[in-house]
Amino acid sequence: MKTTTRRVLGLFTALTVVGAGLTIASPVSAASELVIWADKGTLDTIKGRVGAWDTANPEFTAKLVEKDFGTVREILKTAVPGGTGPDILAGAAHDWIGNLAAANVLTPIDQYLPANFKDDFVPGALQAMKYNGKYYGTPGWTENIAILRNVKKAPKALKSVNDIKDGELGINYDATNSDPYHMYPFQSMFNAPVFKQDSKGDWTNTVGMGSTAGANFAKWLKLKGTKFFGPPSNAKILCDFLNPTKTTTVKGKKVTTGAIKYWVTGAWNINAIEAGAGGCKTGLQVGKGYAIDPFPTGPTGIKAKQFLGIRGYVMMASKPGNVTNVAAAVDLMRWMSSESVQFNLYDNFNKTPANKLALVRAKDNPVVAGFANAANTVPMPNSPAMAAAWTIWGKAQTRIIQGKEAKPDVAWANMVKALQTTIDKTSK
Amino acid sequence: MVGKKLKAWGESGPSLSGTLWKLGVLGTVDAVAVTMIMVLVSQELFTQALLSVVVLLIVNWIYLRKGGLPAKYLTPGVLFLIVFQVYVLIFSGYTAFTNYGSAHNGDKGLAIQTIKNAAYRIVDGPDYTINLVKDDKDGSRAFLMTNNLDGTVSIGKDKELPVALAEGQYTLSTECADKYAEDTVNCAKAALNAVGYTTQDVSTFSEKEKTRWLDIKVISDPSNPNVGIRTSEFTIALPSEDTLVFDEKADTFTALVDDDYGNYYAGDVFKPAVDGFYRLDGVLENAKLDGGWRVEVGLANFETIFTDVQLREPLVKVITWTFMFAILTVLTTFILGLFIALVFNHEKLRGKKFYRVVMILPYAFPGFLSAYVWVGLLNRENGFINTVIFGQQPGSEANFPWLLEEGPARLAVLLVNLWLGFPYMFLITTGALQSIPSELNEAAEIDGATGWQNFRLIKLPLLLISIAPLLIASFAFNFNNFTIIYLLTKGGPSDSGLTDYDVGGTDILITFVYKIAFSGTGQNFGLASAFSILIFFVVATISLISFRRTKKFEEIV
Repeated sequence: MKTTTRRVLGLFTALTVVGAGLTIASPVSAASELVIWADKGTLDTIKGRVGAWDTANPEFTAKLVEKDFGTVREILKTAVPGGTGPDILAGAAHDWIGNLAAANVLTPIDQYLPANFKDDFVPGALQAMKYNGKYYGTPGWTENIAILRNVKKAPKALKSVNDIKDGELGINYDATNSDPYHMYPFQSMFNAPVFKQDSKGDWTNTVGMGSTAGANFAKWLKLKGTKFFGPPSNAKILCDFLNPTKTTTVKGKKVTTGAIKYWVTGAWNINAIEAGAGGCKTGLQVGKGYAIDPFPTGPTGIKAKQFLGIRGYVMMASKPGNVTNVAAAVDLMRWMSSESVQFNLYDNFNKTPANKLALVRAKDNPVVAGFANAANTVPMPNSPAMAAAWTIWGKAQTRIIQGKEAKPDVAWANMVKALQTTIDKTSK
Repeated sequence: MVGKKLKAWGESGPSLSGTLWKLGVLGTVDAVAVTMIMVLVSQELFTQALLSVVVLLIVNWIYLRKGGLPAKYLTPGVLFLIVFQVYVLIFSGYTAFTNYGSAHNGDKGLAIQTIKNAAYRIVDGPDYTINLVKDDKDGSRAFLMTNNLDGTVSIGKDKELPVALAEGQYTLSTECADKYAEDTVNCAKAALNAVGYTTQDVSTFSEKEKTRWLDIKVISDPSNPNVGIRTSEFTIALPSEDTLVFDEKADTFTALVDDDYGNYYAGDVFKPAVDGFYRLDGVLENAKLDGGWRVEVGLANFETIFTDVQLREPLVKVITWTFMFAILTVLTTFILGLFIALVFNHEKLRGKKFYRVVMILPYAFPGFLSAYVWVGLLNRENGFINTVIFGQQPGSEANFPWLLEEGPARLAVLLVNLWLGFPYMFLITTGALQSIPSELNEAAEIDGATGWQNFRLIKLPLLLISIAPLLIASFAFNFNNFTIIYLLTKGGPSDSGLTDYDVGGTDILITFVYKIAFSGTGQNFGLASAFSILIFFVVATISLISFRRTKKFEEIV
């Protein structure tokens, strides 16, 4: 009996040692792994080029991990300080930067960039990655919205917003949180910028839309209401925009379909338009079927401005001493910002390059040129309070559009007050 | 076979196969644990490592010794209980007394690192493509720097001015200095080697060696000691200026220059303030540096709950609705369940079994699935309820706004929860009804009681004895019924956004707390934890009172 016990004890010890030995081996190879988080769309877009970098840099393994776009920002805030975050976040919307930088998540990259690198990008693109005077990321591609016009239904480009009749406009906004991003061109027609700008043109932390201009916009929103600001559903707009206008009778009532002539949207919907979708089988061709127009002027003739959105690559704050991954991350970020990669992403995925040279090469594409021509942009603000600002700002808009506010100017002023309070709280 | 194994684990005569089996499992567990301990040690988490060692030793002692059978059965359960329940409870309890959240998501070291990472600014001056070299004479580290603007080459040593090299003293690389240059023929080339210096290969450096190179600061402006040419990733060097300096002993950041954005001015001293930020002179109201850490804040979170004016209005609304929701849900499901149970309990009813199965179906489907189906059915424009049942025009925005306005959304939540909940009540009341002796029923009939009297005076009191505790449990469950609210409305429709807190018409306490903890407008785990502690006390108190009162029913028997 005793010998048996000894034998099994010996076996047990051996098992433990072998098991432990097997598992030690793994962390060694993981040291040179470069982890990149990206949302699904971004991941599909950059997969190929990141793979090319991976092949060219055999000492590193670039590992792409898919994360949900809506929640990744909040996940990073616990993952990065906890040491389980990535090295790079790809496809980051630039308006997240202030929020993430204030939450110990990001590292500025100024010191990694040669001076001439800053000249590589279209105006505003690298600027948008700046927060508190430091660059926190490199631009990947730019996004701005424009008016898409179905040329069969509306042969001529809009001149004034007054020319749009009820039901002719498609604009995708959330039924509770609105979408101040899509609404901003209309707001800017009233000279009500979201924040005040300083002498350099950078946004300050003072809400700028509280003036009479803001009140006028609020009144106009109520006046136009849900009849003007079309159905808040992307799929419905798409179909309505593609189909010809038709009036039918359902249960004795006249129902008009296909009334939408103009659609406020960005390049991300181009594929859906050209391919057609769901029940609306045929798509449209740019130049023949639809045109990409600048926004019309406001009711009093003021030129509209839209936000310039930058999707880019931001570097995570790493543990002190982990220099290897930082150097590799910088190299990958510069690779993704280079002319050839950005042209490639444009060529295959319709992403408007932020790289100047790539954009010049891309401009023979009517879609890219269309959005570039329509652009009269201001960079989207990226202060830490933006996350809260979108919600507060949007909710007020929705309530006014839906006619739930008897006095829209008062509601707007209250919203501005609440927004300023939140921003002061965050920045203090 | 099972019996054999059990015997092997017991005290009476272990069999060889049983012992082997046991040691195999234990060995695997040990192997995993040893790996874990090594990882912990390598990450310098010594407390956790020591704790794991102690636990591992105890576990081994329990399973390798003779006797102590109960401990062998209980250990896994107890361990999981500690990890998944006790630890979580203690952690959220502790979190309630901290400011853990978006800007305070780590320890102080992390905050210091964040501030240090941004404590420089790039100043005007040429930038350089560099190679790392060592002086053959004394082995000192130096940058072999090629000016990106004019192509001049120089040697830069730590705390010295760069020394220009004459042509012929260095050799240029054949590759472009800019790795990603498009034109590989006419691009700028950088110096690769210099006479009297040995070029180093970065890929062979250890992390420690790398940090030594990172510390090199070549003087570019002799009049300003804060400016120097540095590298961060060994291929580029830029002139940068330190903006803040950290004094480890005094635990302060001192500003060396005026910040371009007015965040601080030269000479400002930032000290740790009680709220987990470095603030000017450590005073709470003063300016802060970005980068906060988690600190204990005492009862501040509870104070916020009870005193924050912004929170008061939404909180009153949410609490009222939470009670309404929980009570109405229990009432409606119980009444409907009981009614159906009574109907199907009738002896003369045919096909009882069939009806009962049909009635249980809503309970049999997973709640997640049903909730999503209901979201579709209740869609305003094209939902089945609006277009088919109420005959409204498909696609119209004038249809009844289920889920989109506060009143209708609350009604919808209650209706869907009724649909999901009544089969459970139906099941338990059927069971309870069947356990009531039929003699009581007959006796009541003989005494001339009407059906209603029979139900109200005989059946209901008897039912409540066995069902009252379940009703209380149902109340407690629905009080925290996160799933149904979150899946149906996400707590919406939202209010006008006039308070700092994101609160919607159907938010119950637990979804409100979830939004505070995880929503996009900024995480606040501390406040959320404080809320969950309060919720626990509310539910516990109500349950306790109710259980006491149910004793009243028991006196009937």
